[in-house]
Amino acid sequence: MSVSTVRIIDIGRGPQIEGHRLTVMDVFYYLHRGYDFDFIQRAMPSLKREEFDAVVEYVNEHHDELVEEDRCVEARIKQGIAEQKAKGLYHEIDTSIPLEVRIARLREKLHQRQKEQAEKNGGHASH
Amino acid sequence: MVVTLLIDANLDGHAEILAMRLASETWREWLEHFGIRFLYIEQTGLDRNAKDDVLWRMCQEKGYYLVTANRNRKSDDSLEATIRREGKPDSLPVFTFSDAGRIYQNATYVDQIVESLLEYLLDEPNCRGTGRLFLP
Repeated sequence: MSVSTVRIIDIGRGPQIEGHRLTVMDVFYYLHRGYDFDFIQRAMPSLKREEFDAVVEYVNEHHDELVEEDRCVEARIKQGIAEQKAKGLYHEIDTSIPLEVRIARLREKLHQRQKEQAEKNGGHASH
Repeated sequence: MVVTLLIDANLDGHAEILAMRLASETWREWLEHFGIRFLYIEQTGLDRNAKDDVLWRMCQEKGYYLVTANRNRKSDDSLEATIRREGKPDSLPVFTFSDAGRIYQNATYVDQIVESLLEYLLDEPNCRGTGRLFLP
């Protein structure tokens, strides 16, 4: 019989897999949205089966608090985006415009930047 | 020019998808223009369980853009706290996925991530010192 030695520890980032940067919340994000191990391992190939099992065990014991934490994370992300928009730093993507047109605009922007850089460098184009 | 994206441990699979899309006909000219390369935690020489502050400092020292999904608790050595405490006007931003799982559901979302990333890289001087920048 094999006994899992994977531990879930908390050293400040919230519960995480011992010896790994992956946290319970990283995995729970997918579990909570109905994904299974095979899917999650595609997203995080370094996640081993026994590590996943240890997370699932932890999730079963702390489900409600993790759901609440997940809700807080989503709220934090929304707030972060709102703050970024307020500073004019968020790039809204207008999906009603075809991708080729959006890429052409990016290309124009690049040429403009290169022109500005060339002027800064005294007329020598920078690539 | 070389742009190095340091991929956090929970985004390794996402990075593979982005790398493949960037190498496609649609985006290859940009991949080549910026010299975009993906670097994974295990390639950095850092511990597999390196803390956020260690990772952030490495990025600043080496000129890497950290790419994360930001789902962790705030603590003194968390990414958020580190950015607030140690960030300078010329610090490189951290790119953060808003909804990382979508990359597996929607091919057009991959293009939106690439486009957003390129917009930031084109605006590089204005992006410095901004701390965290969200990808769609």
